[in-house]
Amino acid sequence: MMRYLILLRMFLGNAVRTETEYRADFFAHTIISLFWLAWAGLSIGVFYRFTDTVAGWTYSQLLVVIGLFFCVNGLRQAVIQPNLSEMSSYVRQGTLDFLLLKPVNSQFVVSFRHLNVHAVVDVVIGLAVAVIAAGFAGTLGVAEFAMFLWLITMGAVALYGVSLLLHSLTVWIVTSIGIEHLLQAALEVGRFPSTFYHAAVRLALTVVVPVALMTTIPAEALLGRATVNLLLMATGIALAFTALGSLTWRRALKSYTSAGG
Amino acid sequence: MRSVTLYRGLLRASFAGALVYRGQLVIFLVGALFPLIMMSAWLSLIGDAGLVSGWSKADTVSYYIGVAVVNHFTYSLLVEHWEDEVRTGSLNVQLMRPVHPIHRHVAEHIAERAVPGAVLVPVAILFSWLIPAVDYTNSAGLWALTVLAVVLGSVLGFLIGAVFTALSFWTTRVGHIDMLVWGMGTFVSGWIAPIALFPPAIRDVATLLPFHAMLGFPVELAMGKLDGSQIMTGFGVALSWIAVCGLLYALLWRIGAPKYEALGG
Repeated sequence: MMRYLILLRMFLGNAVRTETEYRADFFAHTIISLFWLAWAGLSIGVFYRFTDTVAGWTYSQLLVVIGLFFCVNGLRQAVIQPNLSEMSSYVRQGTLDFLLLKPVNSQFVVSFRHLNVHAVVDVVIGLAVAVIAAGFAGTLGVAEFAMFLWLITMGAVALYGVSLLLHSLTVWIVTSIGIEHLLQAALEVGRFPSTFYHAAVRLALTVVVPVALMTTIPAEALLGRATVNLLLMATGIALAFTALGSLTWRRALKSYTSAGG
Repeated sequence: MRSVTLYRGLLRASFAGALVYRGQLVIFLVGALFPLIMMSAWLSLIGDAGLVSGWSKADTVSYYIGVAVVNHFTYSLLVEHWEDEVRTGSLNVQLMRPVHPIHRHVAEHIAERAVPGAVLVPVAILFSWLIPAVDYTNSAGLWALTVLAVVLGSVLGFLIGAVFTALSFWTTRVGHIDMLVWGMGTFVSGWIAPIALFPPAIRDVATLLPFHAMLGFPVELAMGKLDGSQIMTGFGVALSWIAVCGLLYALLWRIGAPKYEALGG
């Protein structure tokens, strides 16, 4: 366990060192993140020209969901994109072989070796917006915040589980074009609370692609509407997806016959 | 005659490319789902608050199915392709060829729109047939005008991209600028909301900008929402912007191309 923490620290150090070489890129990325955040805030403002609540969500409540969407999407760009999304090129070029030869857990190396530091800005900005908006909605307390921390962690776990599951499939299908976009599109649906969608879509968003777990449900916690049952359900689904992903990863490795060189 | 042969060759290569990379088809079709997210928000709003500016749920569904289709045809990946070529240095090779590189991009744009479009249009027709509330015009004349508007929108989308590529002789960050402009454009194009839902002042400005000509205008035409003078204005705006962007591109290219210093290798 200790060994993995030391490795994580080394991975993080490398990522920060690389990032400091591209400082202009970092600032450009931050400005663009702020632009899209303003875009999101203004675009939902158009809805509230006509009404005070949309499907039971006021403007500041909806802003909580938008903030969490930024946070989760930032996590995808920071952690999933530079790692698991590279699976298809690992398989195609045969570099997966080198990763498998390393004397550590292969799932760990493939999942966490790199980090897009500039995308962490999105995570921070998103969390800040969500918490501040919840403050304005007037529902933030210590218990709510604790529940929220647990649920957003479960959201991140669910994101990881789904990504691992999908990207493990590339061992069989080789090309991953589309998988990353599918994932991105699925997350994009989480920009709005799941109650904005048709009942069938809403169910799919909880159980099939657990996007509701990443934005809507943690937002409910910040708004003081989460129950213990919800907490247990979210935890169960998130862990189930990660277990399924890990299982698929191991199955995939068994049938991996190496390629390239 | 030479240009006919040229385009026949370029188009054949582009279509072959678009058909081979079928994985990309998924990307294009997933992109068509994004407008439906906006649609869901408006549907729940109308469900709660009733008609907004006279728009019903059926109108909203018809509108956003149209937006998904039109957006695919008028969107252009030119700036993305161009940035890749500048960064990797493959533009240097393109510039040495006796043919202006824009012709190859025109052929690519046509193939990239046509191949996924051949899947998207039947799907959209199927949806409008399955959902009885979806209602477009029955007039063949309006449909002909809609097709024309989509073609003009596609030309305009490509030309706006072309202006940004010409700017790349001065800055390598055109991708970011293009994205910011596109992002701001979504407010007045009809992406976030049909522009009929905005206050009259914003609506007037929006009808004169190129973004609406590329998205909301063709859809509103197909829905039979526009009167004669609005149709005239729409086409006038589209054609004017095509002329402006075309001229601007030619001018920038002439000044900028000699400045180009090759990157990559």
